Amino acid sequence: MRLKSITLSGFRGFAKMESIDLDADAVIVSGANGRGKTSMFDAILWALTGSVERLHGDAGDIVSRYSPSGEARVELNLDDAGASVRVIRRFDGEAHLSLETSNETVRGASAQTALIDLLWPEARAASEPDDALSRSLTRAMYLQQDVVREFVEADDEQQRFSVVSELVGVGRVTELQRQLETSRTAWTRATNRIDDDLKPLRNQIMALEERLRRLGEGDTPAFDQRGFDAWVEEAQRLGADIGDIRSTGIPAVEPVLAALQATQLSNDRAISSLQRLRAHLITEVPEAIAAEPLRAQVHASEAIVAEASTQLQIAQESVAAELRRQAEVRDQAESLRALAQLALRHLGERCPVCDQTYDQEATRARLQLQIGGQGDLETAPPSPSVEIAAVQLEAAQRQLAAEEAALRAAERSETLRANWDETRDALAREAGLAASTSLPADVEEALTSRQEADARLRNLRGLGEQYSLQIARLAEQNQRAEVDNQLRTLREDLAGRELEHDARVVTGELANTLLAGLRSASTRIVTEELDRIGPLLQRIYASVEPHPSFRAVRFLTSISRGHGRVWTTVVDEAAQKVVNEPSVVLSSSQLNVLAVSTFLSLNLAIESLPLQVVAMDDPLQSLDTVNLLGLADLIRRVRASRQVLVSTHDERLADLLSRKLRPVASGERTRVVKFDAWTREGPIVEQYDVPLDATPLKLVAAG
Amino acid sequence: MALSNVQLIAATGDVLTSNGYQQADVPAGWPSQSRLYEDDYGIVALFVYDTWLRLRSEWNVAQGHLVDLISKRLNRPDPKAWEGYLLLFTTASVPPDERREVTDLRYNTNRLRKLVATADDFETIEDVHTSLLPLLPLQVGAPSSSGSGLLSRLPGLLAADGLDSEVTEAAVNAFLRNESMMESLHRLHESR
Repeated sequence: MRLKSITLSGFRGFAKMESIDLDADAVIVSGANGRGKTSMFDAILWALTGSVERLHGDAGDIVSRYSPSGEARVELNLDDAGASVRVIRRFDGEAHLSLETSNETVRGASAQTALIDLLWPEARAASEPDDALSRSLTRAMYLQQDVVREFVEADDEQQRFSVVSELVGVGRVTELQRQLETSRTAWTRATNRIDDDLKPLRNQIMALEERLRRLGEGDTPAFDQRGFDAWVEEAQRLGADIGDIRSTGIPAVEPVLAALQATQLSNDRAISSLQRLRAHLITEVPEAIAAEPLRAQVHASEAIVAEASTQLQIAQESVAAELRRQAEVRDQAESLRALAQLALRHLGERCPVCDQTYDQEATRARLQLQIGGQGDLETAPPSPSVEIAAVQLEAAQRQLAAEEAALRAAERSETLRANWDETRDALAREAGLAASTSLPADVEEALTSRQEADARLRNLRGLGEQYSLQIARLAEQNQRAEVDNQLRTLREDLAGRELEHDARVVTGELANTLLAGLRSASTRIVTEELDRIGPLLQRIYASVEPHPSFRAVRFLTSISRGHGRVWTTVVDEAAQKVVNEPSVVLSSSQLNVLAVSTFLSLNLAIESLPLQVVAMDDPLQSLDTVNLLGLADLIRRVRASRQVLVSTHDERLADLLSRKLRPVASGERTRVVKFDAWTREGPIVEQYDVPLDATPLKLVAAG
Repeated sequence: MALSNVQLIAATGDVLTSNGYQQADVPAGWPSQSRLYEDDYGIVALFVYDTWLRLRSEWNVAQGHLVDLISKRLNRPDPKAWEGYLLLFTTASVPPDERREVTDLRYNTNRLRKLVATADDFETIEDVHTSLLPLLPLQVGAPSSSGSGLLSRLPGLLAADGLDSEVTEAAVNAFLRNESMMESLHRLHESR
């Protein structure tokens, strides 16, 4: 596919509409800087990709400040193996794109997709197809003026590798690899989820296995129903209160055992009562003493004591009366003695009372006698009746005390006997026996009977416990069978799901192996492609002869951790020096040559590039003359396989290119597009064909 | 094995005539070890010297011969009049302290462009081709497959690493059909 023409308006330096004929093998674009050369190249790129990354601005920056319509429009006509393709891109604040072929006209996103299919189908594999297209075109089709050396200088080794990968079409492989990685990640996540989902199942199986282990092993013999029935009947015979125990259909041991226990408890209580009764009966029966006669004696003695007491009281009262009389006598004698003492003290000649004379001596004698009169005052001896009465009373009282003690003993013996009888009667009642004279024998008989029953009850309970254990074992056996069934089902389920999971894991591992191979394959393809491109790069570089010593150039590739790196190295073969960073040894001019050589080698090596165009915007700056000549020759040779668009600001160089690229055979066409001046309306463009050199061989023809 | 002058002349002629050049008659007065070639775009004159010393001292004579020829045979406006190339070859070595003169001569574009090569550049016959590269058409080389073509190369490529080609094919086919590659690999795994 080649460029045929471009019509642009409102695009950067082009305000008014300008049509440029590009339908030539070589188009030499000349003109001083600022006349619109780069705008024309950018317009081609913009029409094809919708962006000019080099400008770093927003889409509006491509609109000319002097655009009459305020919009930018580029119409690019291409020749696709004889068929016309027209790309029209406009920007009026919004982007518009249409693509016309002989078959159809598409617009918008469909046009963009169709354009990518037309220009660089490999870009479809990229995550950002538009960017991939733009990168491919700017690395292999359009060498932009201010980024000439980007590939060899600015791009790092990985970026370079990535660019080459994209150019040689490894993008599809990379996209396959990326999709497989994404798919594998999702697959692994889903597989892990399945494994997670299996965990509860595994836990359930472990729990059931543990339960089965605890349920033990071995077969339990069948339940002895006949023995059980006999046991129940025996229990009933022994008085166990058993309801309808067969209502559930399951041998109900527990209720029978409960009834047996209740019966045994009752029996135990009866035995206990009988044993207490028997123990009571064998104790000594207290002797009862008749209290009534003693009580009569006591009453009689009490009367005697009362009589004796009365006699004593009388005697005592008599003695008391005598004693009172004697006291009165003593009181009187005392009073007289006191008076006698007083009178004696005051005894005069005359009587103070009658004033008569008296016999003082006699009187004194008498008074003194009065004062000293003892015989009259002596106390009479106690009466013998009181003592007698007292002795009698004491004797009566002793008699009474003795009789009362005897009475109390009799009364106590009566109480003890009554109590014993009462206890016996109560115990007999408790044991259900009558308090008859045959009670001891009855007790022994009953006790024997009860103890026999107790032994039978214990035996029955033991049997019942065995039945209960057997039933429990049978129940566990049933549970074991049930758990076994559950386990079998769950294990089968788990095995199936684990099989599915394991198969998925194997598929994941297969994908991993494939991914490892793809990573290696991608880098290997790129390395192989670089090996293939290397000699071409060398031929191109050598033909320009940029450096006297570093005359060879190679692509050096390295793969590390799955990432490819590529260096454009220059080599001094004579001195065996290899330099990975050409800028270290090459001048700016020589670096330009290397960059152009690399660009051309990539362009020419990618045979599948649908757009067979080499567009170079002023690539020949700062070159030594020898390099300039070499590069001009090189461009002429590139024209054999590519449509060449090359611009220069140097008029002499434009003349050199016109000469070098002149047509020498009919059908060949070299076009000059000369940007003579620039006005606000846009560039003033002069276009013409370089004349055909009809007889190119001068010497041979002459010879 | 170093090339002789005769071999060098023969090899140069062979390379040039194999790449679109035609040999023209050498004008009278030119040295015996000189040749003249022409293609549609330019005129190439070959001068081979026995020693570097002779080359260094006689190259300007050779340049004079070619300039005279062009001025006599072509009109000045003829584009070809500006397309003369002077090949200055010697099978002798250059002393190390004089190598810079070789470079200087290469970079001397006065009147004609000069391609200079010495024994250091001619170890093999192929080296003659290398020295003439600026005059030869570009050999682009065989195109390689790309894109979908590369995908079809993958099974074979990965098989060399021991990966079953059926596995790669299953993934590639699923990718091309926009189907799940993992499902495709899984189906393949289960079918085995």
